[in-house]
Amino acid sequence: MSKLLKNALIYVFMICIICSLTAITKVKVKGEVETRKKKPSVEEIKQAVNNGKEQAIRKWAATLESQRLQLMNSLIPEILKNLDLYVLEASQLSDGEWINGKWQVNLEVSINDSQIDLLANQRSQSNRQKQQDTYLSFIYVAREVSSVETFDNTVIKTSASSNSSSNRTTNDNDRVEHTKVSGNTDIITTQVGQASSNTQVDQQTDSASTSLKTRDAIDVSGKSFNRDEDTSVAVKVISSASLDKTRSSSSTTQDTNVQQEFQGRTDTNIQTNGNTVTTTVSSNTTNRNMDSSILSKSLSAGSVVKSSEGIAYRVFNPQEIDSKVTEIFNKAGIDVVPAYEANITSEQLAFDFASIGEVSSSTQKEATDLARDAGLDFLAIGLLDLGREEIDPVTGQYKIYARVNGYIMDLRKRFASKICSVGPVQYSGLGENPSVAKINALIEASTKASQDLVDQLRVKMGM
Amino acid sequence: MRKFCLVLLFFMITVVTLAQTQVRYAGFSFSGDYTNIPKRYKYTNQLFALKNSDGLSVLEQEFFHMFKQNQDFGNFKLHFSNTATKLAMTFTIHRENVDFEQLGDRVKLIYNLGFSLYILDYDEMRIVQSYPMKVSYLDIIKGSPDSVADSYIVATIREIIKNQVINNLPLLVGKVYIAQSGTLSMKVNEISFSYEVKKLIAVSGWDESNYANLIANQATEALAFDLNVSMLPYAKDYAGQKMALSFSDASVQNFSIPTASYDLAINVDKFYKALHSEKNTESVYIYGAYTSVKIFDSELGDEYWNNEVKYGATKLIVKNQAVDDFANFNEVLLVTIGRSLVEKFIADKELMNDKKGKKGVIRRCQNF
Repeated sequence: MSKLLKNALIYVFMICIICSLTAITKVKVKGEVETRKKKPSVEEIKQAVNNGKEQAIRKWAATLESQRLQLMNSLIPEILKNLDLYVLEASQLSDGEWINGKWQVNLEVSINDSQIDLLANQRSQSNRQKQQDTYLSFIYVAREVSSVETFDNTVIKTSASSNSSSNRTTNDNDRVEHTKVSGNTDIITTQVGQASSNTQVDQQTDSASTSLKTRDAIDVSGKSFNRDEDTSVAVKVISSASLDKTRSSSSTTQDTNVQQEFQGRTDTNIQTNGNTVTTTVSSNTTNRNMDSSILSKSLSAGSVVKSSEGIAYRVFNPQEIDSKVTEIFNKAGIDVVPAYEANITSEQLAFDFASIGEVSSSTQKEATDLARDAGLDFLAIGLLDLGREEIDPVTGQYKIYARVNGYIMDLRKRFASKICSVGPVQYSGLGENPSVAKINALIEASTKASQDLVDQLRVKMGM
Repeated sequence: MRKFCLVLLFFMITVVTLAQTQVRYAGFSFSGDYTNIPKRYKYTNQLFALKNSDGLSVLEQEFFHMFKQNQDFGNFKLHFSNTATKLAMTFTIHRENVDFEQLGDRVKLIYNLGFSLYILDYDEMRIVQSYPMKVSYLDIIKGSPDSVADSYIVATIREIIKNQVINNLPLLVGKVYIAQSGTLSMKVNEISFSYEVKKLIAVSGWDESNYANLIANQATEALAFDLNVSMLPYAKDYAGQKMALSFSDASVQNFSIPTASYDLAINVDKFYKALHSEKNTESVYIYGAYTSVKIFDSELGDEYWNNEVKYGATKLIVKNQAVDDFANFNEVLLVTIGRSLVEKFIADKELMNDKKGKKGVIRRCQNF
């Protein structure tokens, strides 16, 4: 009787412990057992349920991040040995059915996450006991946008006048044209319109030398033209004859005929007949005729210079995350040494991060040297980049994104080497005001990054 | 030693039992986008802002006192102190519609309010169970829609909440259970409409997704209260199966909606109207709704139940009377996926099977 009571007590005590620790993840799987019987025996049903539990563990592990999965893979044999400890319950969703020599049953399996975490930490600790104490120090620096300077567009306008006149006739539906004259005549025609367009440019000139120069400079770029789909045509006519020169010979007239036809590929024929330059580009479906007896008298042009916004950053040492990150490293059995113990200050790293967006080699070298001199095994560095606040469309709360980059330097060998790294990864934090959202984003980003780094470290170290 | 063991065992069992059934009252809350609360719950928000002499929300206080007097739920007791428990219960409003219709020199006001009683797990920040309920009210007053003052509507909503919600809740709390270990859950996963039904919904002025919400909540309500099935909220509207609840202390919490053990899909196939009989001054019409209801597993791809559920009712219509056919279709549809669906489930022996190792799907989800 007293033995029975003792057992019952132990059972209830275990339930208490499990209830207080439990973080349950539910996984749906099909458990199966090979059998010839359509109505399986009790033993076979048990086997199918056990099979389902095993599959549930594997399915759950498959959802973990790669480093955690790698760590979990080494633990799975041990978990499978004590399935009842790590699987709280397996509820049957169906009565089961026999298909092709297998009896299958749908199960909803509740996995005890906390218990598995406990196992991972125990494994890490026991491995650590076999090894020497491991000392690590971490420095996490963060930056946020303090001000953004935007610039108005710089508009540059130039104009030139000539006594030329321009006359164009086109059948295009939509058209964008840019004409720029700067010393030399430089006509750029960019056109967006229907596939069937006709353009004809006629230029006549009495001056042989001018016509030759004009011929040399005519350039029709229509290679990218697609007669069926893309209806943009760019025609660039560059005449080296300056407007001043054209104006000085008042009798000069230009009459250039440009006929364009595109036929799968672009063919350009420039025919010089006396003083006339004719460019022909053939096509089945697209004809462009542009009559330009002479260039316009007054031409103006300009350019717009758009400057990128100037962003100034404010850097800070996020104290809020210190205890959380320390907890993660401690749970993994790593002794965390405060950075000041190794005379490493975060200011230099912060300065680099604010100015160049990363930690410079010299600063890194300085920090690793100090850490090595202090007898540390590892130095973890995390760089957190906070975005600007925005309103979350779902909750209406403030939302801030945090991008994190982190790595751990191994200082045990002659040369410091990066043995694990994470990022850049983005996380977000929500809050009723921007500062709460910021802290939440920092905690989320640093916790996830640290957990990933710890998992990688465990794998590398065999912890 | 034996005595000591017995006392300790009794003590520990009591502790475990109590720990599992403690639920804290989390107050009244609004569902959905925090910034849209003044717009989405225009009148309830104004009502919520009304304070008593102590500076407390009148509406919040009315709910508080009602729950204080009705603490004993199906299998748990509601606590009002800062109990160290992960479970909490909130009463949430998720729908507020006030529509106007001009009838001669009078205006008809149609009130439709939707509420849900949510059981929340604060440890894992998820909604564990949902018990929705809806209330409707018709009011006809002289004037035009523009002449109806907001204060009049707010006062009417207060009366509706007092008479139809606060007075009825004590009758329902005994039917609210927390799912015990091993109890499975169900969720309305999909509401769809045939092309013909979609056209009718569009003509009626309903937004399709809002109408789907109404149907889903009706099914959830019927299964939760009438069949005692552990139901999770329908959440087609919420991105990533997250639901934001804003509480009276102005805090906003995001809760996730877990995957259900079973999913429910309802397709509204058609509405039906036929003349049944006719007299000189009046006609009797039959209004019917045909639906296909499916219980399935969206993850494993298995289908457990697929049947047609239909319902018809007669309506007496005086000749030359303007008839809103969609209102009648809506009425029969709500009965179809409410009462008829429950009756159909109960009538199905496989779904309700309670033999050991051969439990039916509905039976597996029931809280007893």
